[in-house]
Parts: sequence; structure tokens; C-alpha cells
Amino acid sequence: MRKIRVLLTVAAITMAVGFYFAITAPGDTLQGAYSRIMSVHAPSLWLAFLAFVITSVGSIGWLRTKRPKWDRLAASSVEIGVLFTAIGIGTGMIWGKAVWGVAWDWADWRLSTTAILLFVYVGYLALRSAIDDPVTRANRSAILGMVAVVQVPLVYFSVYLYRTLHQVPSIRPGGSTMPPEMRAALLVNVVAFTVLYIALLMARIHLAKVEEAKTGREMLAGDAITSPRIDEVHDV
Amino acid sequence: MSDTVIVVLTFALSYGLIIAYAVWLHLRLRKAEG
Repeated sequence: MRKIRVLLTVAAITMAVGFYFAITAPGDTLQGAYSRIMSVHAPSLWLAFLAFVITSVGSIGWLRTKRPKWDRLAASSVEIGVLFTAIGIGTGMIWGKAVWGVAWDWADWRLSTTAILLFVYVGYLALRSAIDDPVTRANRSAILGMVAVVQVPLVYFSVYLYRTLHQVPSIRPGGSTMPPEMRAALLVNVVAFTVLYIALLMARIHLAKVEEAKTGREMLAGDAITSPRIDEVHDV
Repeated sequence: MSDTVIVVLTFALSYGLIIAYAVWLHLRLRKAEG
């Protein structure tokens, strides 16, 4: 628990540094101050992608080994991925309203596929909460977690497949179209969101362990107070 | 409202969501620990 507290503190400090870099970076010629929103929009969605990839790793790990640690990893990572996707969509809508003139357009592939990504992983969480048996829950959600990850490359490459409103990435393997100060602000925030993701993931996994221990205790207590079966009762 | 205020509020909204999630995790942990 101490390690988690230290990580959360480091995450808070790096997020504060990230905010400073973002807010002091020069504004874009066309977008003005709104270009600074990219320093939270892009890192949150990149980390959401990572979170869903980690979920698929946990899902495969569970299906192969049936060890609870993999199920805990998958379920914990989804929750943070959903949070980061919601932040990415929310900040993108505010930026879009100011720069594009519209907050949302269902005809845009990047926007639509990201919304579907969010719905599917909210569905993953709903699926988990609908099943009581831990093994059945882990099996079914692992299959969804393993399949749903195909959306990540689909969302990423959607701007190349069919481009409408959303631009292609400013930082890509071939280089960057951003000025150094804006790129630095973006990269500092990527580091900050990565530390935050690790800290929240560890905290969420710890919670899952504590909840499992509690459920185990309750099941044992439930067994102790269950009324005896009729064939066990002799003195009637 | 100026552009900079909207940008700062956007950051505040994002950080607020993260803090709300962290607090929710903390409350769930306290409940689970009894």
C-alpha cells in the first residue's frame, strides 16, 4: 500500500509538471490557446489504448492459466481505460467545438469508432457486474477482453482509412509536424499519464484483492450459518 | 469567456474526473476493508 501511495504522489507531481508545460507552451497559429488541450487529449487516449491492450494480455493470461491475478489485471485496466477514453472524448469535444465548429460528427470515423470503443468497454464492466460466479465472470469477460482489443488499431488507423474531420496524428513513426515546445509539452504529459496509469492500476488491483478476500470470508460465513440438510438432522 | 479560461477549465475537468475516480477507489477500498 505504501508503494501505491508513493506512486500516486509521483503521478500527482508529474501531472502538475505536465500542466505547467502544457499551459506555457506557445499556442498554435490557427488554433490559438485551444492547441494546449492536445496535451491532455492525446495522452489520455494513448494510455486508454495501452490500458485495453493490457486488458487483452490479462484476458489471454486468465484463459491460459486460470490464475486470478490475470483476471484482476484485465478488469482493473478496463476501468482506467474507460476513464481515460471518457477524458479523451470530452476534451476532444471541447477542442472540436472551438476549432472545427462542431463538438461531434457521427460521420467521422475516428470519432465514431472511439465512441464504439467506449461503449464496448462500458459493456465489459456491465458484463462483469452482471455475473456473480467469479470463474464464469472471468471466463466470459476474458473472451470479450481478448476480442474487443481489435478496436484499438481500428480506431488508430481510422483516420488513414477514411478521413473526414479528424486529422492524422501529429507525431508518428516518420517524424513530427509539431514545434519542439508543443511536442515537449505533449511528451511530458504522456509520461505523466503513464505514471498515473501505473499508479491507478496498482491501486485498483489492490482493491480487487481486498474485495476477493472479503467475498471469500462472506462465503465461508455463509456456509457456517447455512441450515443443515434434512439427512443431517438426527434428533427430530 | 476567454479561450485561455476555457482551456484551463478543460484541464480542470480532466483532472477532476481523475481525482473523483481516485476518491471512489479509496472509498471502495475502505468499504471492502470494513
